[in-house]
Amino acid sequence: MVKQQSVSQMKARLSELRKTNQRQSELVLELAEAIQSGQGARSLAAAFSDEAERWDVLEQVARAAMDCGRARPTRGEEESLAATLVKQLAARFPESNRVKLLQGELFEAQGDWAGATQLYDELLTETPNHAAATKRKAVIFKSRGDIPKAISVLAAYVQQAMADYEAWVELSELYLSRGDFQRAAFCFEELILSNPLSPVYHIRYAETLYTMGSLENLQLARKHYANACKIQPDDARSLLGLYMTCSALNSEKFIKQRTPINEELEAFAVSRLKQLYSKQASAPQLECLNETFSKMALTTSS
Amino acid sequence: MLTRVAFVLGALLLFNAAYSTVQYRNFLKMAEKDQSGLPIDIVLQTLAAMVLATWAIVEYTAPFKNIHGSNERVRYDAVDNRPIFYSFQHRGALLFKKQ
Amino acid sequence: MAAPAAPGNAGNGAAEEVERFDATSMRFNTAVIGRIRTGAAVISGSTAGILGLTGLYGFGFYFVASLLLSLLLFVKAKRNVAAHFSSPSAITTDGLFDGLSTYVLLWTFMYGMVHVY
Repeated sequence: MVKQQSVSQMKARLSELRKTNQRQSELVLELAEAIQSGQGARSLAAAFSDEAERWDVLEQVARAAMDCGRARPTRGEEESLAATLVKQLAARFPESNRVKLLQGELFEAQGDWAGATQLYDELLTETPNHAAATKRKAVIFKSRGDIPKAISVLAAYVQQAMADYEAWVELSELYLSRGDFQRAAFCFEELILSNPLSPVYHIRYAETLYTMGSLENLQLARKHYANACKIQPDDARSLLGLYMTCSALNSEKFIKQRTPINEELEAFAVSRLKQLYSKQASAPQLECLNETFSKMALTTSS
Repeated sequence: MLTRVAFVLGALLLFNAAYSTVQYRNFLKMAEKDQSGLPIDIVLQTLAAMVLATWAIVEYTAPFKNIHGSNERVRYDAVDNRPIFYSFQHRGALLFKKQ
Repeated sequence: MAAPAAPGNAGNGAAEEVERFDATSMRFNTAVIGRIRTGAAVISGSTAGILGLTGLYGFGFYFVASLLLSLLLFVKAKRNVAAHFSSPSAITTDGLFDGLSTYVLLWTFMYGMVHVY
């Protein structure tokens, strides 16, 4: 997968993956291996002369290793890759909370729940509201399949850390996994309040509302899809969402509450989508779109 | 580096000018001459020092950031990249197992 | 929440430009300018004190120095104010009177040190 690239290109790719938080663990491990062999270094750490980069990379590769089953020693290994890297980090930063957290994640990856919980509790006694430790405790419950407990831990956390949008998104995901759309919608409302100009939250909120159905929810969903279209024009997801919501509102069920704005928005979405697809999509995809429109029109215009 | 040197230089010039002014005024006091006005070279030195130091301050501080979000469209799937919430109980251990 | 996008816009090819600025960057830039202004006020105040400026000349000098600063800030913003600030007043008049107090402090101090002591 890693084509012939220079070491510096590979390092740059690693850095890019770090910055965008992408979870491409297999790729990261490949890149790390290639960089180490490419520079003929004894260890991964030795392959990076820039101190600041070195430790970031070790952390990144350690997490990738945990994702790819390298948390426990494989055949022929005395110590797992992840454990080695974490040990190196701990040796360099003995008092670091960040390394402690990584150590906890390693325990989790190894299935040592008790060890991980103990570590996080230590962090929490030191710093009573240690955000990361609280979140990892929630993840432990999630990993063990106890979603309700995970939800309660996170919900308690966001009560006092309302600005932590990551936690709100995670909480919304947990609620959605339980089918609790109402509460997931509440999470999205909080996210929209703090990030009104981020189209993603509008779209997800609208999707949740659309799923819940009912007239008010659909009308509100339509508003948010439209807003998302406004903030981020030519985004197929928001346009299609707008179209679907308008179609739903056009149906027999809501015939009494029909408003002209619905027709206008639907026409807007359709025209924009056709423009977008004719510019960027392949011919079969455009055909697919047109067919979708015509079939939807048949079923909802009754 | 250059800006730091420039700033120190500017500050030194300024202090030097201040010191020269004090000396000049003492001289005037003793010579009981008219105490208004400064020699042109001190004035020029002071002004030059000011310009130099101000420039150094402006350049030394961090560059301005672009406020237009540099067209970074928040990708829908990117929202799910939340490393702090990654669980390691998934099929990765099997799928990516080293053979 | 905001009203739905006006369907009338479906005609134009280009979408209307939504006025949105990255708040973190804006705060950062404003903080940088604040720091610069304070530093520059220290320098120009000292200069005024050393030069022995008094009264209106002293205050006038502050505005001259501010003009110089605005020019330097303009260059720092790579001559593109719009890309870094929501309005050009950020580099011209904003914070002008906040710097004034620092200026006066240094001005009177240096004047006292140099011309009076």
